[in-house]
Amino acid sequence: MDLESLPDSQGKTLMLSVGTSRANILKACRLEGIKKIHLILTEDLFPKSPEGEKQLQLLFKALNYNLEGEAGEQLEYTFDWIKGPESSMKDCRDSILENLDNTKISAPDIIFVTGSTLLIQATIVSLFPDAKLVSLRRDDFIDLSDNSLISKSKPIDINEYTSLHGMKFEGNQILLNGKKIGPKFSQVKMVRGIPEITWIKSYDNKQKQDKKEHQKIGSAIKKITNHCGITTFRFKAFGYGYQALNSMSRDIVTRTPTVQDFTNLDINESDQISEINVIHENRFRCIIRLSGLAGIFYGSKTDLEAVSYLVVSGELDRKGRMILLIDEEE
Amino acid sequence: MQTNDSIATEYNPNSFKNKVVVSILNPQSPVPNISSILAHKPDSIIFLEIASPYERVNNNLSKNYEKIQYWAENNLETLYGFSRGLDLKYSPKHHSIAVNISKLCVDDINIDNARIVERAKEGLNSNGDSELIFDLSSGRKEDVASIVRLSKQIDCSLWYTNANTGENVEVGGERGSFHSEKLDVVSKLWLEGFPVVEVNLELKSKNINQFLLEKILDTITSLLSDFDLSDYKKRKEIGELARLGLKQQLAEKNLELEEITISPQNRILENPYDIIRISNSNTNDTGYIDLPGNIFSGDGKWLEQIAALAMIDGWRATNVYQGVAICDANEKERMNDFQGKISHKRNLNILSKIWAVLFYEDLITDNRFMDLTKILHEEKLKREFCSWIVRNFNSFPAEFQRQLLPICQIRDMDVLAETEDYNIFIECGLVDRRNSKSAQIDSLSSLVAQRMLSREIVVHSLIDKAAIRTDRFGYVCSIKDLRKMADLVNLEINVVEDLIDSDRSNFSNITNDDKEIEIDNEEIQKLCLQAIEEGWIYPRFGDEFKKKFGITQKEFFRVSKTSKGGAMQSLRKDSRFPIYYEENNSPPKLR
Repeated sequence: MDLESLPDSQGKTLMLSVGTSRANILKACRLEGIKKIHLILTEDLFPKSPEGEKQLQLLFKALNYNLEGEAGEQLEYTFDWIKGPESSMKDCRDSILENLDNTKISAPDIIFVTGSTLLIQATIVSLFPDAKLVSLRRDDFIDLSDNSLISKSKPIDINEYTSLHGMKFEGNQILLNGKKIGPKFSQVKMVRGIPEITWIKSYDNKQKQDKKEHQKIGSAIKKITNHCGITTFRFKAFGYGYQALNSMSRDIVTRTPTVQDFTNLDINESDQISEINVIHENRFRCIIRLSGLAGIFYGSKTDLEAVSYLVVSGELDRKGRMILLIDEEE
Repeated sequence: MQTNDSIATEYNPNSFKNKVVVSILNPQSPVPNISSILAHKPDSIIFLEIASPYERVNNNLSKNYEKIQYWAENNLETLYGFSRGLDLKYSPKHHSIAVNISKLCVDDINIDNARIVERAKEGLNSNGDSELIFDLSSGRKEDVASIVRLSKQIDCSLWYTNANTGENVEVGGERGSFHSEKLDVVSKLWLEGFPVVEVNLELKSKNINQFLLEKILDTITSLLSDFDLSDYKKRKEIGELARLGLKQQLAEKNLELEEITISPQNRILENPYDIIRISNSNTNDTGYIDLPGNIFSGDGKWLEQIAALAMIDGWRATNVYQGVAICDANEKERMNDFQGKISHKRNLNILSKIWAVLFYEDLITDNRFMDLTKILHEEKLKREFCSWIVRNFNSFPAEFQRQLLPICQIRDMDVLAETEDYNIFIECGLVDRRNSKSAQIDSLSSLVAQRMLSREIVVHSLIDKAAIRTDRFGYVCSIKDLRKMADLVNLEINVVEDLIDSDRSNFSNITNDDKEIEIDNEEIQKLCLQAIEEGWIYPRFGDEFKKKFGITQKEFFRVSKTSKGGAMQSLRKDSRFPIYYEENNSPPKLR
């Protein structure tokens, strides 16, 4: 189904409340069949201060770009202010009920429920009982009344995504509101519509290691999640061992690599590894460094001396180490 | 639809005999769900467990449900493998709520709405003397939106509970609201999977005499203006002078001072220590405030205690904890940490103390471990002894286990303050190492309090340095500015540039006026020699130094202090190059 098939398909108004995460707004703007967008802004996130002004400018810049660039025609948008939950829950609820009263604004046709806080969403939904509820699950717009797919969201450019949040990537460095945060990352890429930032510990012996790098990563993640919300970016940190365990939230940062993470570093199944850098060994296995990640060879270091290379199996052990094998033919 | 005519009402959460709450089981943390229980005190609560396509989310749901059940039985410690009856001092706060907890597994709220309504009705009394509440403070936004729609099918009310403040508001309806008991920060840490095993000092605002506190803090901050404790070379001397000054000034304010030596409670980790107990000699007031006896000393621990007091004075904190140690919730990991630490060569004194307690209390059951000297000198025997301790840990007397547990700590917090609305994490350091300290405190709160409302503050003793705001909830300030909450929260954000610090700590290159200068140890050595010979080390020369050497004097110290081998360190030991100020016998700076 699509929105056009709903009754009164002309001139649909979408109401969406703006939270710390802004990417869903860009996606919602591109929902087909929408003519007008009504934004609900909180005084917490957009305060009357230079910082708030800057946030507002970023938002409108992105909106203008999207409304002109994607829909092919100029969409209209309006906005209302409410008190955010930081003042008090009661004030927040009451300001929604007062500012969005049907005597002041016209009821929206659709409420976009992916964004902002639970209290704000619940209050808006209860305030407009006839509005259609639409949610975003990954790239799918879902009509919540029957769980049907409305449409797929179009991909967003990573630069557009980050700039909406006041962020920028420059030479493997994260810039948040123009300021550098955290140590340099290893890579960033868009994965299923969300930027994924990966740090891999460098083992370059020429450069003295920063012993507190894991804490700086934890700090950068904290700053980003404070600023943009928890789910706006994905984070990965590999090679920091137990230090990462004690510096980053276990729910937010992935610390065990997948096969894809090896592929991203150009380590693929059947590849031959000739530079065998053993970092730990015992009688039963050797741990081998693979571009900052780890490989495991089930055998002793003596066994390794007999071979000139190892073969990438394409399978990982439970700790995310790539299993390396001896080439029988060799 | 709700209109403006609705009148906000104060809701009485205890007005019904039978109360049933329905709430979505939260995958990230059990705290919102438990906050709902604390708020409504229901007779029964039904958690909707919404199946996720992701295994990790489903595992989290199961774990959180288990945590809620153990919490409800006041027994969370045993879930984490702590011995029953251990009676940890900082365990989750016990409650007296008797609630019947159950869950209903659903694939989708819209599809399963009839089942949800039916299950909710089952808990209600047939005589109508019941109340049904849907609590909307957990779960995905789209599920909460669906619950709001579902609620139209049944006679119920919708509520939202704020886990940070204990504030509860009705969504729609009569615009009810009330404040309920909220989870304390220690319980939250436990529920998030970070058991608290030690707190050095706990302060409760209700037990502190505010008048006395202000007087003491005023005196301390005024003394800090007179002495420069950042001069690490003269810190000991200045510390002594400042301590004398403090005693004198407090006495002038008619405050009574008593110096007391405290015996340690923990025989393994502590030594006897001194405190200065200050009371008001002119009044009948029996209250007192303790200050560390080693105040103004070089280890900086005293700053943590002053920061803790400042939180009560300036931030209206209700509870403040100084020196909070958290450990792993997983017993195996915790014991691995423990074994690693007691077997480390750096901790032979701790291992010796443990042996002494075990030996004199007749707890060593294996004859191989009767000789401490042998244990300390034979690596294999030492390892076996450590692993024997771990295996028998749970059979040791509870008091002894409690004393050993802080050894397992994975992180510690200098100060953790609890206010009505949020928690404050504080990291202290005598000098302003804002970059590394900010990273330390941010990473800690990122680890334990990602979903709590919190503030992070780095506190130092340099009272002339202006306070800065590093992000929406982060600050760097002196102990003096820490007391001025209103000034801090009104500061403009000025992000700390971590990278610059990070690069400098590598000392491979230093950025200076956008030009990279490669500096190696040999060059540092040369620079040091030149600087010392020419008398450029002390006092501060400001721009003159920069003009001469191309880097600031501060950068120079940092580089020379921490470069491989410690160029400054080795030079200081070299009698050929006496440090300039020592030669001239400069007095401590007294401004």
